[in-house]
Amino acid sequence: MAKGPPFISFCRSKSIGPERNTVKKILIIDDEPDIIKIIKFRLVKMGYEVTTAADGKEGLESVRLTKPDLVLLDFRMPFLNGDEVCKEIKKDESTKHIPVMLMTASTQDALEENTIKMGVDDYILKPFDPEELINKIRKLIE
Amino acid sequence: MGIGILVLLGRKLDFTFLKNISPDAVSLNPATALCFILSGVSIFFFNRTQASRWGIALAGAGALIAFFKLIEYILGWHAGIDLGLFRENLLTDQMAPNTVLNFFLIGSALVVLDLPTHRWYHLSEFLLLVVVLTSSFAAMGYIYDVSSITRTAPFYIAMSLNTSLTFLLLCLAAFCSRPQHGLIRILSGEGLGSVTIRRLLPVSIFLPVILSVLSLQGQKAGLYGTELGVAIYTLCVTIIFALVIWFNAQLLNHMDLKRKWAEEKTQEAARVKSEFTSMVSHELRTPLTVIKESVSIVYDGVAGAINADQKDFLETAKRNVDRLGRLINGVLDYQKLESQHVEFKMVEQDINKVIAETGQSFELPLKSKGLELRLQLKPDLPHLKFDTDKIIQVLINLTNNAMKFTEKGTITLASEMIGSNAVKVSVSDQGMGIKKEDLGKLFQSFSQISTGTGRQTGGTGLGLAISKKIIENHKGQMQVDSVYGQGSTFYFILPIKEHRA
Repeated sequence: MAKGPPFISFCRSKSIGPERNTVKKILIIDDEPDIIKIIKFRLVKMGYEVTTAADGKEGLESVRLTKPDLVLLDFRMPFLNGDEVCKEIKKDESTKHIPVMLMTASTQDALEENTIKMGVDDYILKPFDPEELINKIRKLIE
Repeated sequence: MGIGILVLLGRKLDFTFLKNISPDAVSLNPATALCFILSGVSIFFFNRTQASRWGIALAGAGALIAFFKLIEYILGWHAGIDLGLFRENLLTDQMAPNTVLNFFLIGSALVVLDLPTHRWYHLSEFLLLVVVLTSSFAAMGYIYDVSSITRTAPFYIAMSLNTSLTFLLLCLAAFCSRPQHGLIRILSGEGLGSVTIRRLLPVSIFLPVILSVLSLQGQKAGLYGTELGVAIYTLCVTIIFALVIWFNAQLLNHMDLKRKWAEEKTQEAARVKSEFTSMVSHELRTPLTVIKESVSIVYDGVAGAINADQKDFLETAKRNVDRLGRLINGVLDYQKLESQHVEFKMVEQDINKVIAETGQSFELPLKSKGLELRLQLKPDLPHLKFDTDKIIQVLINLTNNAMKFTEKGTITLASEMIGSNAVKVSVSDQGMGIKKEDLGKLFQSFSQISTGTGRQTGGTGLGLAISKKIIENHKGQMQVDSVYGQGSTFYFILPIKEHRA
């Protein structure tokens, strides 16, 4: 167990290196299990490693612990809202490089405002097209 | 309405009774009575229909008789129309000059009452007011017992009391025959001002008359002198007016409070509705996302192979999920526009560029449907200030509609100047067109007119309502021209703002 952190940092240092085919890790933070289920299914099929968290607090811990390559973040969640989670991620030196994509059922206008304030890297509106989601994920992660 | 009939009856009574009943007062001349009948019946017709021919004819006849009498007076010559009409011995029973004048004025007023322009109506009102003034003056003379007022000159015959009162009633009837116009409108209205005037006007008309008569009687009876009489009169008028105004103010305050309360309730209701809609829309989106993505996963074969029929049905499901999504977005959009929560990012720019871009984005879908796209853009249009995304949304909506309802032909996007300070942008199609009776419904939310093809068009019923709201937010207008069977042109007009500091 004590070997956990060095192992993770070893993997990460490897992914930054020339070899690009390492399995990318995506963390989905959403309080709707069905949403997690459908996104996870597709991403796993595409070969990503997917971890999940059911609320903002758990998600933030998971980000700090596993340092994923991308965070898919729901906006409205119990305990910690998406914007707070994002702020925390971007505040922390060790996690601020991780791209965050916001998934929300909110409307366009409100979102654009929030995006700037929160510092997310991209956002997607629910309900989204699968291709749109995948394209955006690819753009952020590759 | 009823007043006209009442006047008619009242005047008939005048005719039969009062002429003989009051022999000591200046009695009612038969020609006067005839003129009253003419005017009264005329108003009666005016009450029933707009600009009745009979009404105008009768009023004209009244004016004509009065006009002849007027000439008689002016020329000092006696044709004896009134005497000729009735074979009675009416030695001194002439129509008074002010009576004649009044008849002439009332007749003319009624003739011009329903002429189309406002100016005529104002003239009519003015004439009637003159009649009111002269007859009130005469009536006052009787009330205060001053003979010189009732006779315009001592050697002429006076207007009788019943004549003057009947005139007042006639004028009232004439005013009331058009309760939606002019001066009387404020009396018949629903507003606070109308309530106030209905309370104050009778008091301000009758109170001074009654009080002054009483005070005059007191003086004549020798109860007090002139100075004391005037003092008592003034005091009474002041006190009573103050009381009336005070009560009225209380009433107004009360009504104002009620109005404010209602306003708050309305605002609260609008807020609750808005919150509710946005909450519902949010809650709808999450399950919709799950359905959409689940269907997509199966459809794309990610979860295993499916056969053609299964794929077909999943395709149908996907299409309808998308439609539901559009509908939710539409409801939210519309709701926000209606509650004016949307901020428009107004930028000064070239509208032609936006139209051309929108047109380009439609080239492929139009081609695949076998339709032609034409751009008719007026070059060098002055720049307009508008929100690009919102105007594109409108253009997309209009072009989408045009495409949906056109089977073959051309769809034209055009821009042109309207006068010197507005630009018209139009989307024309050669589709089925819109029936006249449906045109009005087009811009209402959730109104899809029957297209003959059922609801296969897949619209949300909100597109045009949203587009209209967007254009109205730009201080523009949105309209439609259509010939059924030949096509429709939807267009909006945006104002050009002068930006010179």
